[in-house]
Amino acid sequence: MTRLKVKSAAVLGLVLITFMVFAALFAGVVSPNDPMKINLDDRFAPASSQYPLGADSYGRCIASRLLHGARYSLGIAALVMCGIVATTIPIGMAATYKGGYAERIFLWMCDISMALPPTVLVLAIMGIMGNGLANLVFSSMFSYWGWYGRMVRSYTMTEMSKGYVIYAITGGTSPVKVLGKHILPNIIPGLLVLFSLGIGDTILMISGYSFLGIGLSGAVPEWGAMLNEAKSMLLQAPRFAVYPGICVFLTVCAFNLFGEGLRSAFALTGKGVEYD
Amino acid sequence: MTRDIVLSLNGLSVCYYSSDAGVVDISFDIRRGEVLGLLGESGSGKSTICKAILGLLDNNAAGISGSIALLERDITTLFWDERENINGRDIGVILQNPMSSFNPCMKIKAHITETICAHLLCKKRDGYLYGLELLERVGLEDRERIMESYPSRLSGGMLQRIMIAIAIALNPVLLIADEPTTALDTVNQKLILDLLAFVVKEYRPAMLLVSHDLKVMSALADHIAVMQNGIIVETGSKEEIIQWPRHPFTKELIAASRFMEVG
Repeated sequence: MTRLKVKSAAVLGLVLITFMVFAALFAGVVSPNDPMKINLDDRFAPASSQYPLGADSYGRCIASRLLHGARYSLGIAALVMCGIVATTIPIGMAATYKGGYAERIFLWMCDISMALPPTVLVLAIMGIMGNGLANLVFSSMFSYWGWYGRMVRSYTMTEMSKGYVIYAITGGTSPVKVLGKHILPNIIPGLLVLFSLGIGDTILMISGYSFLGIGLSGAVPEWGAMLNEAKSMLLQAPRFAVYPGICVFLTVCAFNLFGEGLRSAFALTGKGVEYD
Repeated sequence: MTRDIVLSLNGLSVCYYSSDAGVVDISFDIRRGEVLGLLGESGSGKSTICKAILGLLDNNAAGISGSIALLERDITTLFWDERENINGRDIGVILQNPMSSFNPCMKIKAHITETICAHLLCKKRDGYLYGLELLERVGLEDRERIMESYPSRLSGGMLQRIMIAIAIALNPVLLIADEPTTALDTVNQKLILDLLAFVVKEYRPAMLLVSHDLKVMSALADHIAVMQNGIIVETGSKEEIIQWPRHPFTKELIAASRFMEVG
């Protein structure tokens, strides 16, 4: 029963994610209007066949802007996560396996990243390097790097003490093969959960920053930036804030449901795989 | 005579930085075709000696002194690339828990070809064929199916025999068997002991047999070294130790196992 619930939650998450990804990929095709086009005659237009969700205070189509916004939210989160995955996994695994100074330096790097609160760090980096998408991606990666690095290290350490890793070493398997063939495939399930939950966090964070006006300029149809614009007329037109809010909420929910579902799935099948 | 000596430990001491365990001043020689049994209770340092010989001790967690010589070559501290050449080729290993010693994500054929191809210049296909041959040598039937199976599909006894097959694959000069029968049921224990006796007779490696089980010792060992709290308290031939034990700890061990037999 619980298994079924867990499964359906994960499937729901996956369906939502797929939907979001398609929206992002085909935003140019499916959106009814140009998301940037200002049409002053249609300011505050209600929902109609021309504007499915109405038009905002500049007369821009809200539905089109939300669809294009998926590109920014998912795209930036994916970039940040890819960057973190591509650096923490190889560096973390190699440093942990090597031990000694390599591991200590890696831990220092993680500690530096973890010691500074992400928001402060992002504000500082953006302040120094200037506003812009690339800087936003870079600074978010930097500020979250340590957390994921630590997790990769702890997963690797758990795996290194397993019998089959020791047995592989006693058979003369090279360190690269031990890491790539014995450790990595066995820590991937855990990391998958971690990173899919991480994407949800990152989306929320990026939206938060653009709500504060960091990273993306106001004209860009990013969900957080749309919320920022909507807040000045929250009383006159609350729907301007509700639509992007729902989008952020659903996307983050989808990734969390999916991640939690994966976690439970691995924990359940884990009993069958456990070999001791 | 000295030319026959395969493994020679001279004053080996290991201390762990974080615990009291470890071994002090361990010295013994093992000759070709000879089985030395390390007998002792859990925590007496038997596995530490195996780890030291295999270079598995973490330099950051343990200090090591004395020397370990394999065929008169000092292998106490080696870089990983030299270690890689020795482990698996010159030293074959049989570990105590076959169920957890195989990677659950890899088929048996991958385990076998991995060790063979790590040391021999050969194709995967040749490694596979040689693997089939090895499985026959350790008395396994239905070999193609075993090669394609994941470890979780096979029994502990089968996995232990596969481990022995991998250990003898490259005709090592030294075999280390760390509690080879502990995790198995009685029938499989008998099978594995017979198989190990066959391996010693046929391939004549030097063998370091680690066990706390007197039955295993009397079945395989030529000489026995009794360990307590990290030191060797008594050494001698199998008959000497089992029939005329001198050290009180040895007497206690043997009395205890007699008691278990009689019930």
